[in-house]
Amino acid sequence: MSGGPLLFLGVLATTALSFWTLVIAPAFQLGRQDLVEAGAGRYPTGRSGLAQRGADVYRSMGCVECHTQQVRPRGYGSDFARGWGERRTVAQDYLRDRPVLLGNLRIGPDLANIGARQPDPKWHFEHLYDPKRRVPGSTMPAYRFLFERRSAGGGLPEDAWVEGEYEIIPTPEAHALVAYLLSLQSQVSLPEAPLPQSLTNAPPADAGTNAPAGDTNTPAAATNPPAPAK
Amino acid sequence: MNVTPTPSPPEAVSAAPVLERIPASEIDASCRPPLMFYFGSGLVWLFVGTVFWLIASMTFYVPALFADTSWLTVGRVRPAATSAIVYGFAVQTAFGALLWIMCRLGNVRLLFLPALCVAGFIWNLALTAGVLGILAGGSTGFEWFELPKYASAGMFVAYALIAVCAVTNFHLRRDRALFPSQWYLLAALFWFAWTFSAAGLLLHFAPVRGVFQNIVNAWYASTLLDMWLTSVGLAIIFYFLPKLTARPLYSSTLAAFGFWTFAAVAQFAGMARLSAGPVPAWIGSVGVAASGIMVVPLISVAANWYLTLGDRAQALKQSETGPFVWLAAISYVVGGALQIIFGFREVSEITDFTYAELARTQLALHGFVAMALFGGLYYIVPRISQLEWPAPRHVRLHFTLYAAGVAIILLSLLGAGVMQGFRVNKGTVDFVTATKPIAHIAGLSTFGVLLLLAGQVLALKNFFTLCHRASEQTRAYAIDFITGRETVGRSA
Ligand code: HEC
Repeated sequence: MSGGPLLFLGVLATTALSFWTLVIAPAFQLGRQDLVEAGAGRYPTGRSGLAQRGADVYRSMGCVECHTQQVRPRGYGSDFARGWGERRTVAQDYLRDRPVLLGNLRIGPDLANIGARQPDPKWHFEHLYDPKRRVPGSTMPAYRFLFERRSAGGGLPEDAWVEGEYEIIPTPEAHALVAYLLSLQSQVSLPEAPLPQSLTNAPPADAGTNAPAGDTNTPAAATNPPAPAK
Repeated sequence: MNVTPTPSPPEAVSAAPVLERIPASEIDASCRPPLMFYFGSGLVWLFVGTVFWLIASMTFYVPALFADTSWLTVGRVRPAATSAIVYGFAVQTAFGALLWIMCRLGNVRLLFLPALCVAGFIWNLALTAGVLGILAGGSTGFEWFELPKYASAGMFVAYALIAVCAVTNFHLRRDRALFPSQWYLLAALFWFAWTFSAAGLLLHFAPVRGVFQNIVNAWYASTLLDMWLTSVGLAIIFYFLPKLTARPLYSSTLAAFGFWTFAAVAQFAGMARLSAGPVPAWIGSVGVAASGIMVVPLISVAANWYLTLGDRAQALKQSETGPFVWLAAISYVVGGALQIIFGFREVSEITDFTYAELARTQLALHGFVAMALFGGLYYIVPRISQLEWPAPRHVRLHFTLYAAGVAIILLSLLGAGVMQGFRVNKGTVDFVTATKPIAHIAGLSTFGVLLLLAGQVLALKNFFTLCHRASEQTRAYAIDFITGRETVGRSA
């Protein structure tokens, strides 16, 4: 190698190439994306203020260290069989999120559709307070600090419960977090990721039959047994 | 010494004709103030980070352990641990090793000492604020970029200062010939400056929308580990392997080939993990292809080392630094092979989102990068301080503990990851039933973490005893200087 300047130019070129490919090109492709007409309105629908604050709690508690929010394409592992989603997730689903917490470790189940899978706020409060209460054998850490404990007596606020001689009352943070969890649903049919039933509805002859394998979005899934809760 | 006609080992032959060489001891002494600061604080951060790591892995056993303490909840302690280890130890110690190798190879004294010390100060201050910020809930949620905005901003200033000093110092080198270590170091400085600023801009200051954030994040994280830290690790190995075995590098053409393929491909390889993610499909495909091509630089680098080593493995074992460098080289090759294997679609379907990926990262970080940095540190510190290690046996013991610790962590996480892949990613057994045994196996890594911690205690003790002796010496000189004229007269 003959010298500093040549080395510098070479390194500049390689970095520029990766920058162009991995940052500028996706910026052009994804930058054009906008809300689309799908389902009941413009998708993705915005979150309520409470759920938005919950997203912040989710980020600050580091739930992303153990939970992903992405459903892989059909044919990729057992995401569908586990009932983690009815279709794969696509870029459109995350358009409003900031930060987008896709996650990359699944110590716990995927949460991309937890709002659809587990719509009961009470379940979530109790689960966060002590996961083993709701899921025997759970290894998820408990988040008791998101709750207030005070001695029983007086009116029990909504979503609170009594445990021994204490009342367990969710803090505003817990309320926000649960509102956020309930808002996690990506079940709207999109052109690039249609829901299985909308696919099977389109060509009626296909309904209930095994579609040829190959296409990741084929309605083969429609014949899957009903997904278990987890 | 030079029996073969292949290119020269570092410092053996000066290509530049005129300049008189500066003695190595003088170069070493010039590096002392900032480097002792970087190394010392690096070791402290490593210890702090590993303690956090231990706390985080304790929840494998007792999930409700910190249920009442938001500061110590896993989701905060884990990113705090990563940040402390990566930015506090790895990046900071890498600064020191980089500056020293550049000075030695360029045959120049280290300049800009005040600026480098100030930069180190800013770096540590910003990082402290950032780690506390994460524990208080300020994590950004982006992998390896969790430090809050204010911390990254401060660290960027510090980094820019160090990089400018390093590049200027490099420019003023007296030995103009370039050795492979210098290619890697110079490129590393540049890569990290670019990605760190781009990530800061696109994730913090002019945030981009949707999954574009995750693409930037993946690009950043892979540049940080697989290019910047990896480059410094490779530079250390390329520097010490010929030096400790007293053999010239087998082939610098092969090294150049390895370097340029690495430079062209490594940044893309990190995208492979997005291959099933909600991003444009071509990004994942580019990543998968790139991670396959990574076999080329991996083999050319490994072959070059192997042929350089020849029958001199014994010589490597005799020095303090040698074993560290040797294990770093092996970890690099194994980690690189794992990365390539995980890139294949058939494999990633199983290993995606599992402990197996974590195993790969921990091997790269602790088996390769940290090992190389320790090797460098154990060689450099006695030279810049002109003092021997107070307890040389502890250096050996540190190596043994670390090697065992890394092996335990790698095997337990890999085992847990593969099991998780089959039981969770591909299987349909109820989640809790499926994950129970996996958590136990992954939990074994805690023993590995304990061994790492023990090794770090030895390193810390050695380092700070040495510092203590150095300061006593300085004080003795000062007292002599004030009281006894004849001492000063003698030394002058
Ligand atoms: C240490 C890893 C870990 C962390 C951190 C973690 N979880 Fe979990 N989570 C789990 C595990 C394991 C399960 C599966 C067992 C269970 O359902 O309790 C789970 C399950 C869940 C479920 C039920 C999923 C289902 O399919 O029924 C929800 C909801 C959930 N977690 C939310 C959260 C939230 C919100 C946070 C952050 C405040 C969080 N988790 C942090 C490990 C974790």
